[in-house]
Amino acid sequence: MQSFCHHVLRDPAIHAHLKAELDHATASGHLSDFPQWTETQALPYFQACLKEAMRLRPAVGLNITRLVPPQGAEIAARRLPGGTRVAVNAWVLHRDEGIFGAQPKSYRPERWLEGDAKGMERYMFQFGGGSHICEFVNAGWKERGSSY
Amino acid sequence: MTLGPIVRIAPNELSFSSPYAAREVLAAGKGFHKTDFYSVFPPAENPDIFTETNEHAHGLKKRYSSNAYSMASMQSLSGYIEDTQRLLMSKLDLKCQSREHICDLGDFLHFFAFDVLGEIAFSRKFGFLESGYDIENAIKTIDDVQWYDGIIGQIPEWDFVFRRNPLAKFMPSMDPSKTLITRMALEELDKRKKFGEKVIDRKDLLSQLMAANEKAPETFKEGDVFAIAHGAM
Repeated sequence: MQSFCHHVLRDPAIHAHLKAELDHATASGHLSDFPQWTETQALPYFQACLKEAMRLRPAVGLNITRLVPPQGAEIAARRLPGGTRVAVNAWVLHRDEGIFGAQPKSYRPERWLEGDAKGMERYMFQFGGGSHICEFVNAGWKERGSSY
Repeated sequence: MTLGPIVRIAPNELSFSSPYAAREVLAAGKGFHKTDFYSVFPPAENPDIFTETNEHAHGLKKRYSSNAYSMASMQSLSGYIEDTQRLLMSKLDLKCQSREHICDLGDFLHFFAFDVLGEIAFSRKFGFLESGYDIENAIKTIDDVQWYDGIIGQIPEWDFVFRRNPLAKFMPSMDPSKTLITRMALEELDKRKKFGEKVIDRKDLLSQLMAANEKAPETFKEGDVFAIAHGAM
């Protein structure tokens, strides 16, 4: 939420764009005083701003570390022996130009509207991933989706 | 400085920058288990879902508590989340009317997040929004503990030198048992144990975890109920 407010408020063009979307939805009766989850799903620019906020400033800045299984494994075309600690960090992963497009360090909600959003979402790790994915993912999305 | 896609950050640890590699490492069922990094996060004597490193135990805890975290559960609590939103807006309106005060939006978002979590987990706000400040430095304490855990988690053995040192109990700041949030969690648990589920009219996280414990007290223990509800904070 802090990341969202910070980035949207510091850039007048982004702020204006978002405000126009919200005003339009309100005027046409698609957005209640207390925006509902389903209503906010239908606001593409707002959703793009949220995702971009979580891409650039994922809440967990620490490495997520796992152990290579005893039999060893191949990661990124390299053979690693069992017991090796392998670390990934969402702040690094989310700045991959190959996946998130040009200027990966800039707050640019448009990338979610222009690019392959589904493909980008596959590589968002703000809630971890796999069987250890954060249980609060629903709460997080819901809270964020309805709080602004 | 630009580094390559794989960086050796400790004698036996490699850091990968590729999101593709991350998916391989974190994918379910690939056998990449959690490290002892998580052992420093409290409560050590009864790991919650986040800190449990045993895959089997993790699976069990998750299975018994997943319902409480579902989208449907969250939807059922949306009225209380809206109520907290209203409080946030009214506090911001009030703060911004007076010219003498500086209103730190970042702080208020933090207070809001905690009060929402309080509603979801225990059906009560912690009172950060109402009071407008970080009561008893509860939030700051959590930040400090995260800072400590992040560093010591890299060398978990050192936790026994610092926080788990038997001498630590003589240093009040190292004693995690007395924070506002822990006290409130314990209070709610006691109240419901004493007076039954009826004291609460909605399905919050704690009540759903207690129900799961009632159904399978052997596998999903009372300690798990507290650890998971508390860990959610």
